[in-house]
Amino acid sequence: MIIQEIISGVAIGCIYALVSFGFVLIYNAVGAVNFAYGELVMFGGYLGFAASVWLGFPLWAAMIFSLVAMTLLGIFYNEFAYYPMRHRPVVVVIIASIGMSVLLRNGALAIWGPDALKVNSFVGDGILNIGGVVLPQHNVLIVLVTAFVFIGQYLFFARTSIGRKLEATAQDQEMARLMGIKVRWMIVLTFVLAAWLASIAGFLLAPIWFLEPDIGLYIILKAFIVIVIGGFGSVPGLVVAGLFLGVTEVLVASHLTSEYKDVISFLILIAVLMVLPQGFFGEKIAERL
Amino acid sequence: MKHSGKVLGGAILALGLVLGCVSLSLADIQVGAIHSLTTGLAPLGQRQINSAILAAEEWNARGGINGKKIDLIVEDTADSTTMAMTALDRVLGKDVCAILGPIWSFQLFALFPEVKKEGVPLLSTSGTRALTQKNNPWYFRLYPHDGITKRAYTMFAVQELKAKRVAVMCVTTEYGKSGHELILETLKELGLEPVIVTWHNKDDKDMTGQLMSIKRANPDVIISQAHPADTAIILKQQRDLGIQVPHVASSAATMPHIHKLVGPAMDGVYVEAAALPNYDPDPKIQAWTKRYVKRFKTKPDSFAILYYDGANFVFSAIKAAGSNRAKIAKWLRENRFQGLAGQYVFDKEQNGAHFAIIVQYSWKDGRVVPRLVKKYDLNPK
Repeated sequence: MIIQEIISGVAIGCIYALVSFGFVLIYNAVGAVNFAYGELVMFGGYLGFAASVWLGFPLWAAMIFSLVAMTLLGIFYNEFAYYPMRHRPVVVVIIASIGMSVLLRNGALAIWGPDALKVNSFVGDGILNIGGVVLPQHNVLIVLVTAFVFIGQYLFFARTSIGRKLEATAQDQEMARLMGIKVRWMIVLTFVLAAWLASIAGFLLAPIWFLEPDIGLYIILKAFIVIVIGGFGSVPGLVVAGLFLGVTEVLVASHLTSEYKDVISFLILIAVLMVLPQGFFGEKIAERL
Repeated sequence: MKHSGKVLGGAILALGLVLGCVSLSLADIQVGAIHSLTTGLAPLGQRQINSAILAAEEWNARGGINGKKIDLIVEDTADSTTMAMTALDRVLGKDVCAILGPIWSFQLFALFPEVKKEGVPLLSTSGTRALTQKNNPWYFRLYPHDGITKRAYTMFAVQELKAKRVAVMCVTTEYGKSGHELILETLKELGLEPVIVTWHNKDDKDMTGQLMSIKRANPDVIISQAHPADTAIILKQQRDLGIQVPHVASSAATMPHIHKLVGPAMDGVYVEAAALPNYDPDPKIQAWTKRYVKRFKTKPDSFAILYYDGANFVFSAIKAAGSNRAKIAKWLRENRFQGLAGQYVFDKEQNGAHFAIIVQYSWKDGRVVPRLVKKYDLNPK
């Protein structure tokens, strides 16, 4: 039974890692903490719902629709909630992101209403039974897509010219500008990439978590925990911390207490931070804040 | 001429007074009906107001109440307490003798002070337990509260499904905690203790831990008390984890949008509710549903049929007691009424509906089909 719990926790952990990645991408590139990222994930899922259910598109076309629409939303976010504030104190950027979060949440409520909605899975609702361990096909898809995204991002940043330009911009914008990199475009591209990740994450979580206007708050809370214990800004840390959190939550709810599962999970996370103040991978948090 | 003019004037005045009296005595009976007709809350409110309109039309077609027509004064409470207060003021301005109110407890709580001050009977279909525990003698509940429905579905699990090992899953909100107490209280009366109780947060997206601990406890039934989205996740994950145990769920699982989320995992699930107008085999309910659909081109829900019963109950009270508000309230307290969904009789707290039904859903041809399996009448009198 414990294998079943660990496998289920891994699938949840993959979602945590995936939703945290877009948040970290923006943070690493422009140093902005984006509290609206959960709402971007929610919108990615809702746009998939609009395309697949309202417009009757097949899922692959709905995915493209969501990616295109989220591209525009990423650009919009950058142009209105980040770029004009980039030289202001960090608290202004944070407040702008909170404002965007409220706007997107209320926008979703007005467009899609308060009832929970579902996007069908690319692989259906089937269940695999491997030696008595049951595994929903959609969970297998989540693990595969997460692996693909994290390997893909490594290759993108390490092996492509545009990836290196993005990394150079993230490390030192002034130096990147002097090297002839169009920094503004790199910032726009960062927000677009984060919006694509949000779209993918939204598509993956909508069949199992369902879509509600408030789901973004839940997502950002989990993402923030993962980012902190993973090592603020560390991409490998996200994967380890996401899996750690996902498995811990399932095991605590199953074997210790379901009523205080979040309390116990938080205590475990605090204990981790006491032993490893910098998180699993990364700098000390105090140095980043 | 002067004299005859005075006589004529006097005659006209007298005629006017007489006609005035006649028109007063033949005046319509004003009954208020306030509910959410706009905003996102409208789907539920509109269906219930439809029921009040249908009841008033049927009474008027039969000659009204003691020869007087029922004038239903409808106002919109939208989705706020401010709008609810405005709607109340408007109907009170028309001197209504009773009010059919909104379902929303946040609006009802806001209306209570003025309703008490004005001394006007207010009836609604809200299930929130605390509404009838506020010592408001003018508020009458027409829907079974959780004390009724939780008792009914726990009894069903034990007595009908012959469960001996009951697992209980509850949400950590007030709704879940009060439901948990009621389920355990009923189990105790039936000589049982739950083999396991699990808790989850309203916003939790994964119930694997809770369901796996339930699987280890090896129950023969799961009873859950949860809100719509978490109900959907529980039911879906129970199926995904291959836990083949009957599930008796709270009323959120009757909502059509939940069926869309849960899909085939709804197959075999039992759910408590107050009524099931679209699928109840009772010929009277079927006939009413047909009339409703014909008149309003939409299907009624369980609240709508109870609202219809409530309208008929209050019209009967007016027929028997006249249009004096205090006398109507007294009549409502002292009499019982056989409605379509069940029999209504107000207890000390003025809860009028003490019945519940259990529905079982099956998955056929890609859609969820309900079947009424049990009716409970837990009338205290």
